[in-house]
Formats: sequence, C-alpha cells, structure tokens
Amino acid sequence: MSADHTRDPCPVVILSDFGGAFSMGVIGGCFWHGIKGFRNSPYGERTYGSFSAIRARAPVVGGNFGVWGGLFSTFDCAVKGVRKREDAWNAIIAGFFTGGSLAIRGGWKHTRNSAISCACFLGIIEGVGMMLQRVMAQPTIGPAFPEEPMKA
Amino acid sequence: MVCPNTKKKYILPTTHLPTQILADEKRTAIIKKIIQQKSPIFLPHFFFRRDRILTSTPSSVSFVPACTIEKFPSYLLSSFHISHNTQMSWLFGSSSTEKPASTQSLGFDPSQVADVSSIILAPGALDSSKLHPLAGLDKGIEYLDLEDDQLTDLENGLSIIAARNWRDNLCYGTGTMYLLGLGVGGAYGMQEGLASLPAGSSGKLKLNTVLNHITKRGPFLGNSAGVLALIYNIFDSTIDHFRGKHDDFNSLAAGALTGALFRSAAGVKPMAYSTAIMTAGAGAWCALKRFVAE
Repeated sequence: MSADHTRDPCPVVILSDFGGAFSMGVIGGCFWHGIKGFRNSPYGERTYGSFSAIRARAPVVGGNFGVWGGLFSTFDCAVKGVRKREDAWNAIIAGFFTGGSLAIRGGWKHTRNSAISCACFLGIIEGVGMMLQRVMAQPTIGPAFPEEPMKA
Repeated sequence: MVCPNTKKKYILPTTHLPTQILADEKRTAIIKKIIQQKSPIFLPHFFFRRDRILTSTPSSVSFVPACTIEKFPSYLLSSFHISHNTQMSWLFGSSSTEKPASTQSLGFDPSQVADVSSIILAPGALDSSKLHPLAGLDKGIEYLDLEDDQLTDLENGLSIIAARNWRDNLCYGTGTMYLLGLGVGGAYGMQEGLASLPAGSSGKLKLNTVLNHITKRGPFLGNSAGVLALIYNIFDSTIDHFRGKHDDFNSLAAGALTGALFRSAAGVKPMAYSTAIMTAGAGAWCALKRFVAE
C-alpha cells in the first residue's frame, strides 16, 4: 500500500479542501437552483427566474459546502496530528467534531445529535469506501490446480 | 521500519536487495538521464528529494518517505560495507563476531552521525570511489530525471502555490479567497456587532448579537469572494489552455471577463465598474506574484 501522493500535506490541504468544497457547492448549486428556479417561475419568465435563482442561491450552497468541507479538513488534520496515524477513525472523529461545531448554536442537544449523526454518516462513507476498495482491488491470481482426473 | 506519521512499514533496500517499496511506475521509467544542476542531494544509491528518498538499484526504483531517514539508520550505513554472506544482516540480525568482508572508509564516523544533512552536505564525504565496489558505481550511476518533477507543462505556469494542474489552482485560489472574505467579513461584522450591543442585556444576548453580526457579514463577503475567485480561475485556466502559455495578459483578460460576468445582471454601468475593478485586481495579483517570485 503506497502513501497517497496526490494530496498535499496537511496544513495546506485545508485551503484546497475549502476551495474544492466551495466550488463543488457552487457548481452543484447552479444546477440545483437553476432547475428549481426554472420550474418555480411562471411561463415566459422561466429563464430569468432560473438565472436569478442561481445568482441568489448558488453562492450560499457553495458557502455551506465550503464551510463543511473546510471544517472537516481542519479537524481531520488536527486528529491526524494528535493520533499520528491514518485510518478510517480519523474521518469519523473529524465528522463528529464538524457536525458538532456547525450545530453548536442550536443548543446542547442539537449539537450532540448533529455530531453523532455526522460521525455515523462519515462512518458509512468510510465503510462503503473500504468495501469498494476491496471489490475493486485486483484479484490475485491463484495457483492453477490441475483438473481432477476422470474416473474410469 | 515504521514511519511515525503513517505507521506503515517500509524496508530499506540495499543494492543487493532490489526490494520494491513504494512502486512508483511513473518514476521508474525516468531514471535514465543526467542530473541537472538543480539536482537532488544524492547518496551513492539513495537520491534525496524534498520529501522522500529515491533508492535505486539496477532493476528497481523505490521511494521511501523522508521520515524514515530523519536519523541516519545504522543498517543503511552498513550497506556500504556489506558483504555477500552478511547482506541480510540488518534484516535477520547478525552475530557480533561477523565482520564485514571489507570495510570502506566512509569519510565520516557512523556512530557520531545524528542526522543526514550533516553527512551529505559535508564536501567530499561521499566520494563514490570510497564506497564499496558492490554498490556498482563504477558501472555508472542511474540518475533521476528531474524534468518529470516539473509541476506543469505550461509556460510560466507556476504560481505562488505550487499547483499541479488547473484543479489545484482552482481549489487553492477559491479556498484562499473564500477564507479571506470570510475572515475580513467576520471581523467587520464583529466590530459592527460590538458597536451595537444592546445596553444592559445579559451576556448571552450580547454574545448572540455579536455572532449574528458576524454570520451576517462573514458568509456574504466570503461567498462573493469565493465565487469571484472560482469564475476567475475557470476563465484563467481556460485561456491558459487555449493559448498554451500563461502571462499577465491572460490574468487581466480573465479578470475582466470575471468582472463582467459577475455584475452582468445589474446593468451596463455596474458591469463596467466591476470589470474595471476586477481587471485592476488581476493586475495587482500579477504584481504580487512577481514580487513574491523575486
């Protein structure tokens, strides 16, 4: 298993993750709110409605995504720094803190629930990722067994 | 050996142990050319790079994370004067009576060495003639071609951030601008909130007031800055791609297009203003890049 050289080392990767998540949110938000604005506008103003919905809403979606992704990356780096190892638990712990800190203004109960559900979500993602990795891994070529001789 | 960061195990190979550590096929193909002036520091069969060493044997190239060489491992030194029958001694351990068949002068005392750079930077310390013939250096050393190390093929494509491709540029640019906007807007909102504290209220209410102001200003400015950077980077990379090189005109054009698109719905006059502002911003960014590069 080789180290992942496609990602940058930890402190700077936070910037990249902020930007990546933000861009993903903006581009996804363009599609989402473009279609939504189109459908919710009266006939004759559908294109205009679509564009104004994009203008008003896509940056907000991007911001939400960006804050989530950036916070997650920050916590991920922090957890890596503390634990000094890389495994699935990093993401789960980081997800716990991300969910918690984003919901911290909603009260103690909300924070707790959000943190736990976010950790579960990340756990599922990590689990699915591991399963996919196992399925996609190249099959090992086993020894060729001679066929059983025919019985006379 | 174990890296403190990753807990992954790597075995350091000697010349006689063509062990594949981190197979990096892309780089396996490129150790044919001569090292240029900007060469990595190199040991006989260990090339040191910024973050990892490349160990090469006639048949394989491998990368080892640099964390494995923070302390110069004794078995690595022993591989310089290793003999055929003890060549696996670092792996299986060797009895103390076993002496290497021939001991070469290394130019330094292995027991005194605390870290790698003191060895490799010492002039004359690593004379290839002083090394063991088994290292095969008389047959010539295989070199690492650093052209592959270039981050981008684009002419003048390197920016302040060492980006590998347009996606890196996009992510770093957008992320930086977004965070900057968030920070500046948040600071402005905080100042605004502190100025408008309701008199005689509880601490919780005061905190809420400040937080409300921060979350009103911060994300607004952050989102705008982020979207601007996103559009700018998309335009910039597209123009780079079609022109095949990067220069200041590309940046200026990308800035102008970004400004025009950003305020295109507001009318002609705001559009012109924002075009001018964004072009000036792109120019300032180019100037900053030059300033940093010098």
